[in-house]
Amino acid sequence: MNNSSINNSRRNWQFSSEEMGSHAKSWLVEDETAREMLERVQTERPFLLLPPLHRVPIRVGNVVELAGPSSSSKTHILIQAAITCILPKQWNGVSYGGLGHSAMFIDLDCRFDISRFSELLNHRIMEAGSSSKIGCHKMGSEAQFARMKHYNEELFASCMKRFLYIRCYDSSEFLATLKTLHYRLRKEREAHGLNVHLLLIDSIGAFHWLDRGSSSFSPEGDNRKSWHLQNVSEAMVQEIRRLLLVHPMLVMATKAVVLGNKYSTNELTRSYGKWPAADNQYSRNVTSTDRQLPYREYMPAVWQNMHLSCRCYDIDDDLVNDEHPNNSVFLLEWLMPPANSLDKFTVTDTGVFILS
Amino acid sequence: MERFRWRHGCEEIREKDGKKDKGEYWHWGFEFLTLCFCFGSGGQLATTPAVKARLLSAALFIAGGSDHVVLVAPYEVVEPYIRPSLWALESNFQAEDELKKRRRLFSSFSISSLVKYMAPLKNLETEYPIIDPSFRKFCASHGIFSVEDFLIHDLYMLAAFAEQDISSERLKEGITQVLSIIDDMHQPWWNGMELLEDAKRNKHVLPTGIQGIDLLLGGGIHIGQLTELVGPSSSGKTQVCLQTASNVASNHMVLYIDTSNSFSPERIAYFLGKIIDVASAQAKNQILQKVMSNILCHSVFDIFAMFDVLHQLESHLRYQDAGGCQMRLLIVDSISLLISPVLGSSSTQGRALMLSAGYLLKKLAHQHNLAVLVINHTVGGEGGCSKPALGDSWKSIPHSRLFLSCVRGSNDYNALILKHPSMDQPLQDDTSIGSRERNFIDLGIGID
Repeated sequence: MNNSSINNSRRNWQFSSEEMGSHAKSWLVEDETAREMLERVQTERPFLLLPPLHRVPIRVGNVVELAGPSSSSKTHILIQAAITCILPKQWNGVSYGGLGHSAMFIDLDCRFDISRFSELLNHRIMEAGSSSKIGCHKMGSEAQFARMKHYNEELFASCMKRFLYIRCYDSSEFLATLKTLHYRLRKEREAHGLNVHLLLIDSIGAFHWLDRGSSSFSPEGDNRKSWHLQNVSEAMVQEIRRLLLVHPMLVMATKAVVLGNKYSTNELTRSYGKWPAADNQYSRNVTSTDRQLPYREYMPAVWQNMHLSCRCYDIDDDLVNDEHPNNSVFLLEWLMPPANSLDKFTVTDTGVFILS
Repeated sequence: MERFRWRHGCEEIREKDGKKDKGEYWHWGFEFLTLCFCFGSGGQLATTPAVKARLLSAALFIAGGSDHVVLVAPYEVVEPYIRPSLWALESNFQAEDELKKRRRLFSSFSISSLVKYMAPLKNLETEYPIIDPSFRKFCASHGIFSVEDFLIHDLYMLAAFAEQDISSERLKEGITQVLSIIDDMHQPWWNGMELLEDAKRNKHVLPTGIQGIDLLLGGGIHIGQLTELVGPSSSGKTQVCLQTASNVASNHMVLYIDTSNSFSPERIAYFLGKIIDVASAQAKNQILQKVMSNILCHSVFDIFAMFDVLHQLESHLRYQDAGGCQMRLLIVDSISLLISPVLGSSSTQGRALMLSAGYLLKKLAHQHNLAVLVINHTVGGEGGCSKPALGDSWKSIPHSRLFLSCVRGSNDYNALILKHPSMDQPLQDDTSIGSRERNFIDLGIGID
C-alpha cells in the first residue's frame, strides 16, 4: 500500500515536472505588455479629475476624506462630484462631460437639501446646453425652444433617478445601512442596470460624540463586544473596506474639524508651504508649522490609515478674484499624498472653479 | 424574578484631566444590558432605549441630579411593563385612560424597535422560527446575544465559521434572516426624483409674518429643516417666535416648548389682532379663541423633560389622522438654556446629549413634516465680539442660522444670515459680525 502510493506520487511528480517543462515555457510568454495593461485599467477604472481635487488622480477604489471647519464648502464639493457622476457623457448631441453612473449619498448630518441639489443640476444642464453647438444656433422658433426644454427635463429626470439617498440618525442605522449595502447594490444592478460609481458620506465623524458618550457601560458576557466608539468605528471601516472589494467605488467622505486656534482665519492668507508631519497615534495633533493651526484628529487609526485626505479652508477674501468677484475663495491642501502647494478654488452655482 | 437581586455599585469615572467623579448606580444582576430607566422626581419613570438611554443615564451620574436614581436592568425585568404599552399603542388607543397612565410613565419612542433589536435573540423565535436554539448557541459562542450585536460583528467571518459547522445551511439561512431584520433598521433609500416629489408635496415654507425675515430666509421657515435664531438678550428672538407662532396657528397647530416662561398669550392675541380682519368684535373673538387653541405650550426646565415631550410628540404624530389640523411648527425657546447646564459639567456626556437632541429635532422635522425653530443665545467670543453659544459641535446641526440684534436707540432690529442651505458663501460667525455688512435688513416689528 505504501509502496504503491509512493510510486504513484513519484510518477505524479515526474509527470508534473514534464508538464511543468512545457508550462514553464508558456509562463515566460507575456500576457500583455505594460502599455496594454495601463490601457485596460484606464478604461475599466478611469481616473477621475474632479475639481478641486484634480491634483491627485483619484479612481475607483480610493477613499478620499475632505476635512475642514464648518462652512468650508465640503458638502458642496461632494454635491458637485455627485452631479458630475450622474450626468451622462453625451446626450442628444450635447456633451455634458459626466460619467453616466449612479451615485449614492449617505447623509449622516441630515442637512441635505434636495431643492438646492436639483437647482445645481439644472444649472449644469443649462450651462452645458448653452455652450454647445445646438445652443449657438438662434433660438428662433418656439418649437425648438420647447423641444430643448423637453430634452432637458428628460435628462434631468434620468439623472435624478441615478442619485440614491439615505439618512442615518445614529450609528446603529449607519452600520445597518453599510451591512445591507452589498445586497442593495446587487439589487440595483439587477433591477435597473445601475452601476454605482460614487459613494458619498456626509460627515463621517457625525456620531463621534454620541458613540463616545455611550461607552460608559460594558456588558458582561463572554467575548461580547460593547457598543464602544472603538468597536463601532472599526466595524464601520471594515464594512467599507469589504464593500470596496466587491463593488469598486470611489468613496468620498467629509469630516468636520474644529480648528484649535480662533485666529486661524486671519493667519491663513499669509503663508503657504511646507507640510505638517503627522504621527500615527489614536489622536494626533496635525500641526501646520507655518500656520500654527492645530486641529485634533478624532477619527481612529483604522480610518486614518485607509484614506487619502485633503483639507479645505475658507479664507478671507482679501485675494481679489476677477472672474467671480462675489464668491469666496477656498483653499485646499492635500495631506495624503502630500503636495507642495495649495489649490485655490471658488464655488458657484455651475460648479467648482480653480483659481490659479 | 427572585434569581436576580439589585446590586448597589459605585463606578469611578475618571475625567480627562485626572479629575475623579463617583457615580452611584443600581445594577441588576448581569447580562443583557439593554434598557436603562431614569427615575425622575415624583416617582415618574421615563425610558429611552438604546444608545440614548446609556447616554442619559451616564449623564445623570455626572450631572449629579439629586432626585435621579438610575436603574440598569436587563430586558426580562422590564418586559412586563413594556408589553402592555406596546399592545395598547398598536391597538390604537382603545383603553384611553390606561394608555394615558402608561404614557405618562413611558415615552413610547421606538418601543417596538426596542423589543426587536435590543432584546435577546430568543424573543425573535416566535416570529422567525429559523432563529432556533442551535442558531442562538452558535451566535452566543461568538459573543452575539442580540440583533444589535450583529451590527458590530463581522458577518462575513461569522458566515465562514458557519460554513465549518455541521448544520451550515441552516446557520447561513439564519444569518440571512438576521440581515433582513437589519435591513428594516435603517431609513429607506430614496432616489432623487422621489426626494424631490416629497419636497414639493410636503416641505413647504411657512411665512413668519415678518417681512424682513421672510425675505432673508427665502419665504419663511422651511418645513423639514431646523432654523436657529441667535442673538444677545432682548434682541427680539422671543418676539419673532411669538409672531411666527401666531402667523402659523391660523392654519396649523403649533407646539411651543418654553424654558424661560417667556410665552405670552397677550402678545399672541396682540399679533393676531393685527392680522384678523373682521368687523365685529364677537366674530373676532371667536376666531381668536380658535386660533389660540391651536398653539400648545409646554414648560420644560431641563433637557430630560424636553426629551420626554419630544418623544410623546413623536408617538402622537405617528398616530394622528391625516385630516384636520396638522402640527406644522415646533418652537423651542430656548434650547441653549436647556443644554448649557449639561454641556458645562462634562465634555463628553453633555455634547452627546446636545447632539442627540439636535438629531431628534431633525428627525421630527423630516419625518413628520414640521418646521423647527430653536433659539440660542450668544456668548462672548474672541476680541470681545459675541458668537453663538453651544460651541462648534452645534454648528453643524441647524440648517439655517439667523443672527438678530437690536439697533441701539431705536425700535428696529437687524437680522443677519449666518448660514442657509442656498447660501454657499459662509459667514464667519466667530469673527466680528459687525464687519459683515451684507444681508441685513430691518425687521420692522415695531415693538411698542
